[in-house]
Amino acid sequence: MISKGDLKLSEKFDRLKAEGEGALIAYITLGDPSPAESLAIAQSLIDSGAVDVLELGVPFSDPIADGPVIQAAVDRALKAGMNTDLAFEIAGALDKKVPVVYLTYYNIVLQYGIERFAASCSRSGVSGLIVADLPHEESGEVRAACARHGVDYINIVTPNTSEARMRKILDGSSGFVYLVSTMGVTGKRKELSQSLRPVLERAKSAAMETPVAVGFGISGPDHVGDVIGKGADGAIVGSAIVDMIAKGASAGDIKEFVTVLKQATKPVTAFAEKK
Amino acid sequence: MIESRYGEYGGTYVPEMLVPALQDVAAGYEKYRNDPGFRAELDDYLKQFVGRPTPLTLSRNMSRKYGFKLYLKREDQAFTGAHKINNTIGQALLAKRMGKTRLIAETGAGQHGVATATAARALGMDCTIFMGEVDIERQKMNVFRMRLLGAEVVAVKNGTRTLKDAISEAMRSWVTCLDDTHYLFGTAYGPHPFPAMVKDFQSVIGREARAQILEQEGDLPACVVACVGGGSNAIGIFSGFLKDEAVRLVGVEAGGCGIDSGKHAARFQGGSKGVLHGSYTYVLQDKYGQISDTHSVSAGLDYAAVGPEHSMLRDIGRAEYSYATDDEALHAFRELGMVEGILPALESSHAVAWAIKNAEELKGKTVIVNLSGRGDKDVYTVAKHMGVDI
Ligand SMILES: Cc1ncc(COP(=O)(O)O)c(C=O)c1O
Repeated sequence: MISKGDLKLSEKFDRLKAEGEGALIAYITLGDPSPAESLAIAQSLIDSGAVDVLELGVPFSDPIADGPVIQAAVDRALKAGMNTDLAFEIAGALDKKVPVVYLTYYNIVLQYGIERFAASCSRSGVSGLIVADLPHEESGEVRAACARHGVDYINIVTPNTSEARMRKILDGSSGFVYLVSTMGVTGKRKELSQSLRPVLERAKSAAMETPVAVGFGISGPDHVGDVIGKGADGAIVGSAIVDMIAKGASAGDIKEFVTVLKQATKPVTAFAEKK
Repeated sequence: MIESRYGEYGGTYVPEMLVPALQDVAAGYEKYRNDPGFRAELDDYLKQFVGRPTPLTLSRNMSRKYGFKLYLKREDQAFTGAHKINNTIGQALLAKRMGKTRLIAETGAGQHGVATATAARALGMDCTIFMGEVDIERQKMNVFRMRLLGAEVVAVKNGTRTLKDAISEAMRSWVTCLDDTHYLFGTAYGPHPFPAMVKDFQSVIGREARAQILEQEGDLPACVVACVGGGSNAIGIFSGFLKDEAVRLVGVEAGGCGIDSGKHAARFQGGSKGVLHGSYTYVLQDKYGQISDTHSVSAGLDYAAVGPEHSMLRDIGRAEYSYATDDEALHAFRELGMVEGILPALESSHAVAWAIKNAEELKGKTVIVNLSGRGDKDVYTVAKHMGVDI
């Protein structure tokens, strides 16, 4: 039996922390390759038992923070008729055993109506909202609407966010903090930035109690193990999964992939024991 | 501090990664914009390199034919053939003072790309230009000009493969090279401080035009007309007359195949308020906020959003915005050539087309049309529309 608390980001992270694990946050673009298929993929990711938080992209035609893999997914989704109404239908229809968050761009929220968007997140069980192109200075209205509707507004910080700015952005943050690993856009990368450790330390100190998850470029279990090992509370994997979907991978293949990723969020000893 | 809003419009809607970068640009601009040394250097380049001031030409034959006194502000005579160079020299000089060694830019018609490549060469900087594949095809000559100037031209293959996608790609690229690279944005659009800074560097058009018309006519014009892509040539010339309440300001957008066809780039006709590439303004979009595909015969006007200050000027009624269709612009292109001996850029042809279309209403009045660029780059497009193989 799933209780409401299971869908709360803070409780999820607390529980994982108590068990000494990091969170695996898996991203897919809603509507890719079609609205119905993306609902099925999202459900199978939840059902895999390996995904701790599911991040669903609500497509925007001009995603300036995304690399070619997610751009292509967005193009496929929009061609397949994806839109914001359908996104809320899909979120509502999911059997959510883990917290689900949305990632989108500001114009999508704005055109739907800021208040209405936050209310719809709440109604369809979306626990958190990430807006990729809404910097702190412009985010007041969205943050307030999220707060009114009990939706966690998830802040983004990057390697070039100064310490003072991080503290300003993360003051009163909720859910988790999205730390971008490298200067660039989303996409698979062979290696993670060398300078991740100091940036992560800065973010963790500024975030205080709020967990910090690292995203952008995390492509496989090695990267996941690396960022969790460096002290991140979660690892966000997007393009690597989206790429599998683009190549027509089966639900089984994707499940197998996230299961391997999840193993890498666990302490090495537990990992070894299970072997 | 420079204002980041024009009424409710403008702002800085960008990923966090770009915020520190834009704050640096704003700080640099703030530091140098009133610096006498910087201004003197800029003025010197505008005079010696760009060839300013550009003339304000009385278009005698057109005036006789259409019954109003038509003056043309000759930005087509600025070096490289369009007003774009006013901004690229300004920003490049600023970037250099800020310690940058490389410029990147988006381009649609290729004019801004050429002007950026030129400024980069003149100031000894490296240069990369992002251009949509579709635009590369329709502006082959400018692509080759950029390469002759040592610029790398990156073909953008995403989305609609036009200006909009070139801007996205330039922004994506900029975050990977912030230390040594300035993003030289080409129009009075985008996140703060670009709308304010580009207006500043283009306001030389309006300052000159106002002084010239007073000298040549002894009076202010009844009307100032300019085409509006992102809005830089228009805001540049308007800025000289904003305080002259009696001067009617008209911006002309790209009506494409007609507003009803849906194939156009007239943001004030079919658009609504939204956010694209960092700015809150009028945008062509669907009800979910997906940005619409736009169309114009002129690549430089083929963009889904309009500079935020124009949205404000329209709201407060200080400027009005109309449009000219592809056919009207093509007609105006030929008309100005045949009647006056001047081939205007297809972008500028939209402004000329508006004046021709409204000749009756303008009868006996003095009108300045901003001839933002010359038509050489467009001869292939025009020939194609005429069914001529060249
Ligand atoms: C000659 C010319 N005029 C006008 C424009 C439109 O830009 P803006 O509205 O910024 O002046 C362009 C853009 O490429 C251009 O090349």
